[in-house]
Amino acid sequence: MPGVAILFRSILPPGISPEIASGLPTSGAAVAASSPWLTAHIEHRFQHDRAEFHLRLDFALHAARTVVFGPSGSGKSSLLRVLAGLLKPDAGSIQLFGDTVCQIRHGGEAQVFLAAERRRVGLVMQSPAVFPHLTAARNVAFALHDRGKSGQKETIHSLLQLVEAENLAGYWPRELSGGQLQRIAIARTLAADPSILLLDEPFAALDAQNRQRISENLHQWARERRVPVLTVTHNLEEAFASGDEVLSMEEGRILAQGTPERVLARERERLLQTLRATPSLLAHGT
Amino acid sequence: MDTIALLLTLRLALVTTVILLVIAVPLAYWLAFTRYRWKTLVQAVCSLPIVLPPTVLGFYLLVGLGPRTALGRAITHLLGHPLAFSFAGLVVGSVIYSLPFAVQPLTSGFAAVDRSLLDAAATLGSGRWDRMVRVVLPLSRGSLLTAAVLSFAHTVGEFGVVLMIGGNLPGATRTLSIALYDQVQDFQYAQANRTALFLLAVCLLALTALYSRSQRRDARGGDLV
Amino acid sequence: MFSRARRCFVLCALLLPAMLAPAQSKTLRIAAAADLQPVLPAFIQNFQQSSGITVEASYASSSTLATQILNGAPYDLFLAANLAFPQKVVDGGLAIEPKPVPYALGSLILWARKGVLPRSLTMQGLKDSSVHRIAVANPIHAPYGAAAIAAIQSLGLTEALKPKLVFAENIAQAAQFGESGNADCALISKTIAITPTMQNAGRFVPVPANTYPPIQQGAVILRNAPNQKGAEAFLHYLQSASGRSLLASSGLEPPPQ
Repeated sequence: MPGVAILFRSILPPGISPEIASGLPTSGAAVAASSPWLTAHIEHRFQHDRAEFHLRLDFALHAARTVVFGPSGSGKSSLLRVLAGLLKPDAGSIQLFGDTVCQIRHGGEAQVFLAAERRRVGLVMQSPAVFPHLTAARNVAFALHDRGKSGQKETIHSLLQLVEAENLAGYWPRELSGGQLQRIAIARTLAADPSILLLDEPFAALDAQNRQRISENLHQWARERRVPVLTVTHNLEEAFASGDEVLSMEEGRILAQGTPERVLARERERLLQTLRATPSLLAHGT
Repeated sequence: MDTIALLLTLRLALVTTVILLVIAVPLAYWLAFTRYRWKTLVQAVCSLPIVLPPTVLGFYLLVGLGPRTALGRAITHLLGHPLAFSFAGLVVGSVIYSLPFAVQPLTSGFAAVDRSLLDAAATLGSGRWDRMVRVVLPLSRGSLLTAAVLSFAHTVGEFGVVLMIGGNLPGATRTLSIALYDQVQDFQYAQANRTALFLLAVCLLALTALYSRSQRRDARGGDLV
Repeated sequence: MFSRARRCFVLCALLLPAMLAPAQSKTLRIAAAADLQPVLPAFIQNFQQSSGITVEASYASSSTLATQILNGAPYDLFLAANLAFPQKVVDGGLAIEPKPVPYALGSLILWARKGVLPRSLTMQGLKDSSVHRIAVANPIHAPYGAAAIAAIQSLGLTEALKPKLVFAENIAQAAQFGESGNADCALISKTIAITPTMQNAGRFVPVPANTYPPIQQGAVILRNAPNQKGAEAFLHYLQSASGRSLLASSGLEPPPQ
């Protein structure tokens, strides 16, 4: 039962038992009840590393900070790519702030499909994808067009400050570490003035201290501008730290959606059920 | 050496290279990124001049675009003269003849650009054209140079097409390779030797420069910056 | 894999000599000037029937052929369009005869595409502004090209026609430039002008014979000819009575005695 093994690993990362996890304080504001900023109905089949994936998602998001949580290979990254417009689903519809950006009927042509460059969706990918032919500062400036030179300089500086990379401005990407590149990528995404932020394991390459500070800065930036943030992670801690609402995903489906506590409780229940059903696994697992 | 022929050859190679880059960059961009069903056919057509004898091209240019066809008459009307026996005709021939030497390095260069960079650019609001100008082209400088040098050298070395459609007019269609041919036919071996050595040197120089550059780049770990 | 590759390599190495070996030495190989392209096939057919010798002809400008022969091309017989190029072969010590054997006298033709110079087709008429391009064979390579330039010169038309001339590699290409419509007129050999293709595409008049030196076409049998006997037989046939009448019907006159 590979599904159980994955669940087991992801639910119980080293150093965190379910008891400790459930004891984490509730973070952020309560889930808002107003109209959703994102509704998505997505169906997509695709091949990756010779495995067949099938995304079947149907959800609406209201919270300012949402975390999609699930093991690797559950389709989280693909979900973000679909939302950003980098991947055209087989069928489905997506509304951003009430505007339809994607509408595709099964087996039919896309009736609406807004290209990624027209969605104003900020995406920070797992691989930072920093342009190797531009300095860190020019990377951040990539999406800055019309502002004057001095205005640009100011924006670049403040964004680099936000990711604690102001001293890296003149460096070439090949001179930077993975964590530094990731920070540049974050600053670059914010510079594009996105209307929503999608973060795909954005802090994976950062150490714990930096991760927390930069994550806080980032969320503050988003809060000030009322930009909703959707974070994807397989890290339970991060899911609790940066989510008002959590979606748990596995094998292309959403298993649960709700406050972190509720989702975790359900996940734990499910896990325990699975464990009870297969006692031998318990013996091996501990 | 025939200076008129030399200047003509350089002019032809330069004009051809510039036109080729203008045509080949978008074409290669399309080839590198499209998932169009007939892409392989387009690719094959673009590579045809590598394997086809230049006489095939010469034949179609002379007869297909000559005054006997509607297209040829339109061209004649437009230019005021038939394509054959004119510099414009040679340019058309050379552009087709050297097309694969521009398209192929560009296509593989473009295809080698990390897709995640293009995705990142798209989510940053950069459209198709903008991505080409600001991401793909700067990251493909090496391929651009390769394409330009190969197009230039291949045009300098062009013979069959020029022989078929040129008409051997000094200053308009008598290129160095044709001048060399005439010198050999005329038993002027000393002159022919000078022309041949010059052509040899130009091509050797171009290719050496190209290879030494790619070797330097390999030594630096494929770094483009 | 390795042994298969090696076997394949050995096989190729064994086959290579067979592939590089020259064609059957029985075959008579003729290097023929381009004006003979429409003429020779009939001769070759008759000759093959009567002698049983297979003939292969290669056509190019006389100069191209002379260059090839001087650099070792394996022909048996060289049929040129003048006496100078075969003389070069003689001078190079590659011919059997002490001097080229004249086998025919060619004549220069002014050919015009349909609709060009409709009222009177003359050399003087080429000055007309409706004539844009005149194809001639390259005078360096092709004797008919040299004859054409000589005719233009002796008629005092050099200045007027110079901007209109385009140069073909040989006389057949000059005709092709005209036939394909890329040139309006062409100065070509009678042998090519009387072919059905050229007659269909236009009309022609002879260029006055006193305006250019006679186009004496000469032949040499090559010293290293693998099929010397065949070459001799073919040259005899060209000069025989039946050969001469066939020459006449294809646009060539017998050589002055």
